This record gives sequence, C-alpha cells and structure tokens, in this order.
Amino acid sequence: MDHDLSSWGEALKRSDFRDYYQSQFTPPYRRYGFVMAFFCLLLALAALSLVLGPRWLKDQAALIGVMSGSLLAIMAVGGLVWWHQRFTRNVRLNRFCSAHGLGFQELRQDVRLPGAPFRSDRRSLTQPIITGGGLIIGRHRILEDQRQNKIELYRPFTFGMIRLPQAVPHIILKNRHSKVVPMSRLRNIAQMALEGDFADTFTLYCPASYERDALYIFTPDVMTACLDLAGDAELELVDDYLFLYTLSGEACRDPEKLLALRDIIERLAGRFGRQVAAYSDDRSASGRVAGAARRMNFKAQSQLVGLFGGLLIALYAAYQILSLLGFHLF
Amino acid sequence: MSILLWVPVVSAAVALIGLILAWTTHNRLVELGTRADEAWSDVTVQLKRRADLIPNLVESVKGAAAHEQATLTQVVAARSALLQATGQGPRAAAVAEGEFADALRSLLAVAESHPDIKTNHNFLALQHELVNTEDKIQAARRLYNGSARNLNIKLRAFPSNIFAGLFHFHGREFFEVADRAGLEDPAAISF
Repeated sequence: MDHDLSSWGEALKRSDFRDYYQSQFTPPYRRYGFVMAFFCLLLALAALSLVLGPRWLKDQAALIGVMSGSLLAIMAVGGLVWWHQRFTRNVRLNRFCSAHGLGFQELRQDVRLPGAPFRSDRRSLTQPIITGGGLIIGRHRILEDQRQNKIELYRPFTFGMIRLPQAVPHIILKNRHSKVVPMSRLRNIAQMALEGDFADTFTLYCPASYERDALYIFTPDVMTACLDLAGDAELELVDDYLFLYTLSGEACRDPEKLLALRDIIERLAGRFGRQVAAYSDDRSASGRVAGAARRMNFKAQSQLVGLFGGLLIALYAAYQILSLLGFHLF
Repeated sequence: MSILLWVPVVSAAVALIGLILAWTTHNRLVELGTRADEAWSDVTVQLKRRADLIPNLVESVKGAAAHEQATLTQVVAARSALLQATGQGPRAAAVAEGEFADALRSLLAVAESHPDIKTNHNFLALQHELVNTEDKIQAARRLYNGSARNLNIKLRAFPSNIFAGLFHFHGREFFEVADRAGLEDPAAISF
C-alpha cells in the first residue's frame, strides 16, 4: 500500500523543533550524564593538581588529565552525534505523526497494558508510543535487574493494540519463531495446532474448555489473514483488545513501516470484527465471557523451582539408598 | 559388583520403563479419546441447536410460500434424518449433513425469491441465528477433527501403537462435510 511520506522527507523547520521540544523533550540519559560528570570531575581534579599540587603528583595528574580529557571529548562528540540523530528522527516522527492524525510521545515510562507481556513483575519501559484512531503502537522492553547479573531474557518488542467490538476469551496466537509472549508461565491452558500451513507458523492457546470458542473466532478466513498479514508476529486477544507483537523495532523508527503496521492491525481487527461481534459465551447466562476465561493465569516460577528441587532431592535420596544397599551405580 | 547381579537390576529397570511407558501411553490415549468424544458431543449439540431452528424457519416461509410444499417437506425430512444420523457416528452424520445442507439451501433460495419473506423480521432473526449456529458447527467440527487427528496419529505412531493394540483403543472417523457455501458466509446469502 502506498503512503504519503512527504511530511517525513521535508527539511525540518524551526517550528518543528519548537513543537517537539514543547511536548516531547526529555533530558539526556542519566547514566550518560553521570559518566560525563565523572570525567569532568577527574579533569578538574587533574588540572587542580597540575596547578596547585606537589611536584611528584604533576606527572600523574598530567596523564590523568590527558586521558580523561580525551575520553570526555570522544564521549561528548559521540553523544552529540547520537543525540542529534535521535533528536532529529524524533522531531521528524512527531511531525509525521501529526500529519497523519497520530500522536507521538517519547514517554520513557512503565506502561502496563492488558496484554500478557506487560504482566511481568520486572521493571519495564515503553518508548516511544504512538496513538490515534483507536490504535496504540509502541516499543516496550522488560528490564532485568543488572545488580544480580541476570541476563536479559526478553528482547524489546513492538506492539500494536486496537479495540474490538466486544470482550472475548483470552486467546494467544504464538509464533513458533518469536518469543514475545512468555508462554511457559501460563497455566490452565489448552494448546491447539490448527489446520494446514497455519500449524507450521502458529500455535493457538486459549483457556481450557474454550477451544471451540477460539476456533469460532479463528475461522479459516481469519487464519489466512493472520498468516498473510502477521506471519512474523504474535497475536493476543484479551478483553476487548487485539494485540500484535513483533520483535522488529522498525515501526517506531521508519514512517513507512509505522503506517504499514497500522494498516495491518486495522485490517486484522476488521477480519476479527465480525466473529468477535457475533461471539457469545454459551456458559454464561448473559452471553458475556465468564470470569475464568478472561485471563489465562500466570504460574509462579517458584513452583517450577520447587519441582526441580524436589526431583533432585528424590534422585539424591534414591542414589544414597541404593548405595547403602550395596548397589554402587558409579 | 558381579555381572550376575546386574542382570536382575537391568531386567527390573527395563520392566519398569516398559510399565511407565504403558501407563503414560494408556493415560494419554484415554485423554485423547475423551477429548475426541467430548468434541463430537459438542458437534451433536450444535447440530441439534440448528435443527431446533428449522421448524420456526419453515413456519415463517410457509406463511408466504405455501406452494413450495415439496421444499418444505424436504427440509423437515432432512432435519429428522440428520438428528437420527448424529447418533450413528461422524460418517453417517456427514452424509445426512450433506443432504440437509442441500435442502436448507433450497429453502433459503425460496425465501430469497419472496420479497415479503426477505423483510420478515422473524425470518431475518432466524436466518441470523442460523448463520451464527453454522459458525459454531464449523468451529465444533474443526475441533472434533483436530482431536480425532491427534488420537489417530497417536494410535499409529510407534511405540504407542503397540500399547493401543494391547489396550484395544480404536481411532475416530473424521466429520467431513461437503461445500457449505451459502450457509456459513452471510454475504453469500443475499437478502
């Protein structure tokens, strides 16, 4: 689909910077500021020692001064280049979104939406976020605690969220080649491999005993649309929202990809719309989704740890008993 | 440890592994079979739900097109045949379902040719409900066929096929239906 990208390519005017600065501007990263301040302090101390310090300190002070000064210069130039690129890109995105009826916010906040990836206990960060036409697109990252030297398990992901005509049971369409939705922590779920090529790409998860309801919504037409439009993404239906998750971050940087993602989400929502609007839960008198089916539950990781711990202890106990009985296995 | 002592240990280990395998395979087959039966039960519930709509649908058409008696009779007969066939398993139900779909299509064609039926609120509500129920039947059918497929694969795959034979498990037939255009897609039924 061709999109009007003129507002992205045009030269930036002073008014564009003013608009962005007034609504979006966020201070530089704190960590970068701390490092810069540290080297500035080091340089100042070196200069002070060079001027006022004793003779034996002057050589070391000169060396420290040269090193910290060089690092400061490299960091300042690198930071300025990086900052300029980022700044002008955001100013362009801000203007581009305004021209297309969207709102751009740099944000840098822990946004918690109803989707499963947002239900992590860990600290998260959403940046940026683009809204408009009942749609939210953003980039989200889940942060690991660096002090405990944990490895970052989850890569940042781009999400799109749009409203559906009514609430449906919690359904996750997990892509075999993507790892956005943390399925290993969900419990009381039914897993289905659907027909044909669909099973090669996606696995469908829904609350136990809601398999038929999930298939009611995922008709063959909808499945084809999912494969064609979102073959590299993951989908989630929760409450009356449709979420699309992709590991690619292009949509929050490239205007063409942003509009393409918007089109994809809107087309998917259109495909889901008819089935979702006609859906009713046969198990509840009102036809609304029963409480248990609204969310698939997360299981605590401690249960898994306990299970593995118990297994290890049992194996060790069995080994000891066999050893006592005279069976030396190793 | 002498080799003679190892023989009973290894034999016991092999027997234990065989027992565990038989136990887990048996339970898995029971689970898959139960799921398939449950899914088939849901198919029959949905088929019955649709069948319950037919008398009212026929009544609303009869008022304006009494001369189409043959079509109306055909639909009622096909409905009865389908209800009977659901108790005889998927293959018989699929045959009856094909005949019922043909009869229903004829009934909808009759309704389409009569303007007063097309604007009848009662008929429109029934037709909407019919389309919704067709979607539920389709979903239930896909769920059943998926469950039957999983069970049949397990029954044929090694080593579960050995235990399936020992425990007398048997596969399930697929519920394959002919072309359903005009019944599932509301756009295809133009009023």
